[in-house]
Amino acid sequence: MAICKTEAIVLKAHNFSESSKVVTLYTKKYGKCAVVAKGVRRPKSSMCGTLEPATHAAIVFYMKEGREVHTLSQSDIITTFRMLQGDLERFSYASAVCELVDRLTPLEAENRALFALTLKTLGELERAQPDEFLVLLWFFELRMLAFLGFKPELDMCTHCKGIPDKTVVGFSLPKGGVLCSPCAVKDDEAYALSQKSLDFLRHLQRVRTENATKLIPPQGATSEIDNLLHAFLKYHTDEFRDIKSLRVLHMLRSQCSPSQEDFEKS
Amino acid sequence: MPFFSPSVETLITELNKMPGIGRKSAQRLAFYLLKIPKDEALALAKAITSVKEKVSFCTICFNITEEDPCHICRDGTRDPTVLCVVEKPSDVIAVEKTSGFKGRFHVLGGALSPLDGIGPDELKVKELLARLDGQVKEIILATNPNAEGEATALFLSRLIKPSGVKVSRIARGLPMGSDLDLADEMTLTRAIEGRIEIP
Repeated sequence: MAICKTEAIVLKAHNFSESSKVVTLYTKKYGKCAVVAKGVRRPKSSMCGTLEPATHAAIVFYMKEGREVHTLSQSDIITTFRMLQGDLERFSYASAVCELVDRLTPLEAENRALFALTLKTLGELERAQPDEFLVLLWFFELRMLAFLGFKPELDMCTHCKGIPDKTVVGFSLPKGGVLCSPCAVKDDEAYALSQKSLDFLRHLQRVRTENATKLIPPQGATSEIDNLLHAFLKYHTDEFRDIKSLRVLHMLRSQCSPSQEDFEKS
Repeated sequence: MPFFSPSVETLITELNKMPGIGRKSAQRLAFYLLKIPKDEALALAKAITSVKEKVSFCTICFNITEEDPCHICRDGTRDPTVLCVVEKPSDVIAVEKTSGFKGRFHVLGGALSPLDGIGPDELKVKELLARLDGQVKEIILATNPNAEGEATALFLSRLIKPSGVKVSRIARGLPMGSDLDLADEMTLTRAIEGRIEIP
């Protein structure tokens, strides 16, 4: 049994037995780990406030070879994303980030770049304005795909290897990237992708985390980009299904007061 | 080839469906039930049958009850102007044990959980709004002090406030008998924010 000390982001937590929780963490040194936090639901537990989703904490746990669930012994908050828990939309987007990491990463595979990306994205979500949340999620999805080896090819036609011209282009899910106009015409299953959406995605793929929220999606391209990214995720990763957090967000929005909806749409 | 007789195997399979009961624990429980006197085992079977036949949800507050409406909703001495909103029936018992609350309850049946895909349609939210008929003056949101509970409280507050009903949230902070230096930052911040003046 090894004593492991690392930084971690809480992805999700489920109640277990009378007063414990099984917590899924994305750790800096060990990747995704599941740990049991004994007695943590008791009010007097010193760890009870440290294991909420999207919390950045310093943890100590006992890792036993061959086991999927390890034992958490200590957890101290490093960064509290208070805004994430005080705002429904923010919380839902933060949940979506956590859900993506949970769904798409294997157990105990270290990926420090993904850890840093998740942490930075949560930090940016804390500061972002409501109309920037979706762009930040797209940025996270694109960057995460690259870190996991599924980076979409946006610069070169994935069929003829040419540079797509400035006309209407397509996107091939099986080939994992864009198609130039002549190749897109020949591919019956190609996704229609407008040049303005492609340009935006190229910017998003290269921008730094802190600048992602400064990008404004082109007029009328929101659903095109959103649908394409989710279709890509579904096609290339077995574990991806519709993100539950975003489904809940849509449900919440539909039941909000009209003034709030107007605010979100603006 | 099954290792046990079909009826024992069925019992193990059924016990195995319970939360936290694995195959080995199910086997242990099954053998315990085989060992105890017949009347004790039948009393357990009768209790399970009785609870499934008699217990249902109160059509007003959605607490578990054998009579509809439940004893709290029927109690004329309780204040109908104050509603305490909780996540589950066991929370009603926890609040009742304090003997400090004399209003009525509303059980949501869970909390909003984006990660689990639980949205407002899965909770008794519409039923709560239907109870705001003018008689209710205050809603106390007593959902759990965790991320899901906070999200639920925020959502309900946003829905209820336009109707003019006072919405309050139970205080969050340090438990009795705990040490300040052992408390986590989140709890301590909430405790400082929710401080009260000593009369």
